[in-house]
Amino acid sequence: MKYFLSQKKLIAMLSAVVTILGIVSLASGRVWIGPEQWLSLDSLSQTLMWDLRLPRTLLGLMVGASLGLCGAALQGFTRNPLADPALLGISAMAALGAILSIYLGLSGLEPWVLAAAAITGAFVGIVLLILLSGLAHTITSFILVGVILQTLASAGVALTLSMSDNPWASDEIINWLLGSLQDRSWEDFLFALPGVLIGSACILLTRPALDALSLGEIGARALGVNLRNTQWLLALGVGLVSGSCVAATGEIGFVGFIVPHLLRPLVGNLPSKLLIPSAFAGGAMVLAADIAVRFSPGAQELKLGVAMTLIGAPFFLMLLLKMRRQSA
Amino acid sequence: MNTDKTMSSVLSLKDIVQIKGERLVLDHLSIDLHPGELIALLGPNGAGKSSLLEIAAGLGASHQGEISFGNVLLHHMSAAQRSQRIGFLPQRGEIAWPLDVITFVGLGRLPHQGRFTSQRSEADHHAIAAALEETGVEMMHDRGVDTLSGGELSRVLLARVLAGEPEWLMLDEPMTGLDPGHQFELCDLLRKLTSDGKGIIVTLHDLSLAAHLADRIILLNEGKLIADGTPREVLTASRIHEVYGVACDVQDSSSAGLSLTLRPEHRAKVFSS
Repeated sequence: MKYFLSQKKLIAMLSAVVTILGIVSLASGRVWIGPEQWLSLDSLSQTLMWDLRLPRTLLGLMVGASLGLCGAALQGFTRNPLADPALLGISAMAALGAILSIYLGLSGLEPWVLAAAAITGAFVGIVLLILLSGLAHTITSFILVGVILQTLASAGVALTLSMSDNPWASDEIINWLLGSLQDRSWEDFLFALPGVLIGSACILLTRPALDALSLGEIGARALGVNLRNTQWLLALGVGLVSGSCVAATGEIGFVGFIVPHLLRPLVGNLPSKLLIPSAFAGGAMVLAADIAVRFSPGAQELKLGVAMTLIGAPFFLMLLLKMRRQSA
Repeated sequence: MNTDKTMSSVLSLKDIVQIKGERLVLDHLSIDLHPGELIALLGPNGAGKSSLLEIAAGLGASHQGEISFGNVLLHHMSAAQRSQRIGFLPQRGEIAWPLDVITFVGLGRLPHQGRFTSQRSEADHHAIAAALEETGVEMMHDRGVDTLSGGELSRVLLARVLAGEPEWLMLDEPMTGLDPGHQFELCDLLRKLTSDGKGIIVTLHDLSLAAHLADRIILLNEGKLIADGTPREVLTASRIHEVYGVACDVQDSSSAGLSLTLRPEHRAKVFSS
């Protein structure tokens, strides 16, 4: 028998978790400021809450939600449970875009240039992914193209690093590659927000097409789906969302891959039903990881992106082994 | 909902040519397909059966020629209109996720729902229930499609197509992998749908099954139309030998119908030539 939950119940439960984690995230840091003190803050704590913790929490929530949504959509589109913006090299391409804009000095011109460069990088990444792997999405071809993109982006980053004569630039570039929510401001959040909102809307429009793709490509076309439009809508959506996020926090991997995987059985495996719960759960996961990072002993050194990878990589391996057993 | 339950539209294919790379896949085919007769599309591997079926369903890769559906040209219909009127079952129907049966069958309603949302109407629920009942799979509605046996799965696949309430059903090798009992069961179901006025085309590999099932057989070889008519007219020993390269005894009795016995010894010639 199945034991999946109704969409409403699941979302209600996830929102409760997100709310609790949000409160904990606002309260925690070098000084614990519990909710009971929120109404009577001194000016220092007020600044701390308003200028540091609130944007950090909101940004974590947004980035996590975005990654969860992108992962769920990409997995639905490719019918491949291993798809994830970071794993497929899309985030790395976004980082390359951002880093190039720093290196070329463009990012200093206008505050939005960096986000635009990251979005462009992510978009180029996903378009290359779709074009190179063709419409015959075998798991292997997709992952292989993802690996190529990842390698290409890393090479691009390394090249930029070695050509950069400004020691600051290298520091900043390293910050991009190891995603983090530390010391983020309202500006980071607000510059990412429009891309995330528009991109999410594009992704949500592909819901019926993602369901139809459960029947494979010809099956989806027979149900009246225009695959080319779906593909471009999704590329635009994932490009906007993951590019904006990378611009704000750098690369954070594995959220988009783990979250949909855990939720899929709970929503009855239908791709369209997975998107919104994955966004909620992604937000919760990044918030939780960021809280954990703040409480960890080497908090200054441990970056969120690194922590996610430490959690995610074994999970990926487990899933791979499980898939191998099933196909054997 | 399909309100006029009278008759589906006639589908006419005119002068269909399809070339893939250097290969002529379909060579000037012209066929009229009438609803209410069960049509089997036969031919050896690579004869062009699937390509023809896809083109007739409006899903084919680039080709020349015209397909008219009733009094409209198929390519003038929108994807939504086309998908509401023609149900298509791909060969070896892929199912990417372990959906439960009722959710899977519900996918057949997508052509009737909004382009960007999938809200279900009363009509959707009604059509899904009817499709489950017609194929006799209501009992397994909450089972995962990955847990079904081959016979159960074939009925669930058909239920998905029926849920869309199409006028025409185009089924690419629906019988593959089924034991004779389940093949006959599916045959009965297809016969019943035909007598309800649906148009049905199936591609098949089993000649005896085609003789048992079909009202009309269209035999293709290397993209050409070899024969088109009743099983008795089409399935002659010499033609089977010519197209498939196997010897065949054809016995025709009024009680058992057409019975075919294939003898494999001539098969070697196909490979040596």
